Amino acid sequence: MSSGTFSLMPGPANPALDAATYGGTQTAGFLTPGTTLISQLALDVASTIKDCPIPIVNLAYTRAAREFTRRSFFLKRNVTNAALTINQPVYNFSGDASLEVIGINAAAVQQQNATWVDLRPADATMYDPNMITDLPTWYSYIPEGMIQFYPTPNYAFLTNVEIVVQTSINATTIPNDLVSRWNTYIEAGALQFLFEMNSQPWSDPVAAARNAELFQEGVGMARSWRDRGYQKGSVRATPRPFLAR
Amino acid sequence: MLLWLNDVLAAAVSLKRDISPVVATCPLVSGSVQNLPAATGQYGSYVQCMEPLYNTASLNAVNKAGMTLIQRRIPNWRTITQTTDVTDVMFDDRSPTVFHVYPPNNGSGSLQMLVGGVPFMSGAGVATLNTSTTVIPIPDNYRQAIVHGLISKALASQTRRQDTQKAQFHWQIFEGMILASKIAIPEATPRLSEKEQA
Repeated sequence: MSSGTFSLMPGPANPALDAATYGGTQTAGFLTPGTTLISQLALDVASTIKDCPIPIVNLAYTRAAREFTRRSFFLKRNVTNAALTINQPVYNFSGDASLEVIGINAAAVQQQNATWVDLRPADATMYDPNMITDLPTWYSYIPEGMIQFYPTPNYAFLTNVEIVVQTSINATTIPNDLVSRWNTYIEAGALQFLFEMNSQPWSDPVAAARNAELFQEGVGMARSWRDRGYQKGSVRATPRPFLAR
Repeated sequence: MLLWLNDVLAAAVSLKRDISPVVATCPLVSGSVQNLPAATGQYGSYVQCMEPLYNTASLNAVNKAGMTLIQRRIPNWRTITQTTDVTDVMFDDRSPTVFHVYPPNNGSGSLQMLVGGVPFMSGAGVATLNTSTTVIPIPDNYRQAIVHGLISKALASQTRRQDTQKAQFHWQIFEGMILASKIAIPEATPRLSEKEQA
């Protein structure tokens, strides 16, 4: 058996989907993966549904990727060293060309003594509106794409937030950390959508059902993988939220 | 005789538009609606889009597609960003010389496309009729049919040997042989399920 060309390197990973396209960038210890054009990822789907217009195939893949990330909560991104605003409890995450925020996985705040503490998630309806401003100890996800800190900050504390994202419906690229593991299942989701189309030369309910099962399997695996904190092997049932810092 | 031959070839194309396929370079204008270019060489005109092949400069493949899905899913598709390369070409037999490209072209693109042409053996000026060695751009299996067409034309002309009955007889054979033969380029067969194929 070949041992490959792997070795133990210090620092964060830079895994490769393939050498030419993964191309992530690393900043302050975080890896921001590269992206791949949907028009390239959807080629296998296009060759299966050969009579379908290419833009429709691309949209089917985009739709499947969005559905996959929405259902699995697999894809995460980090907002790092973001300063809070005094007396401002609610924040949005600005915007991204191809990703949308659908949840928060974890958050942490830097105290004035420079140590970091994890914030605990809570139901925002339970917050006391008369609470005096202070160092936040809780956070809540406010649909869609917002976060509320509690107590309301009384200082420009630095925060790290790990957000859960989905790919947007008009995206032209897909993050490589999604497709490197789940491309086959996203393809199945796209095929399901296309085979389900009515009165097309490629319409095929049986194939649609088969691909739907495969897609659901992928969603379940991704969800399970996420729930285990992206770790293989035994983990605690309710692990402490992981936040790279 | 050459004029008759032109008429017979044009009639053959009229009966079967893909009888004389040719790969033509089709420069694209800015926008989504395109027309087949003027014919060159031995062709009087191009009369039928048959199969898009590839973008001339990039060599990237082009897909032949239907318009309905794109119209419904991307209703503003004719106003999206124009590009040099196109991915999809759409046309139908009701407007065989007009085709639509997706994405709309920026005016600098060009396609290689298989089109149906009308062979033309003598130029408009008929300056040189040195066509005895000219190859007729129609497959050999149509030769006999074209001979019948020429005989029909000869018998129909107003000469002492005019015989309209025989002319009609040969013309029917000409039409029958053209129509009975297989199409020159088979259309792409839609993917069928096993049930449909059965």
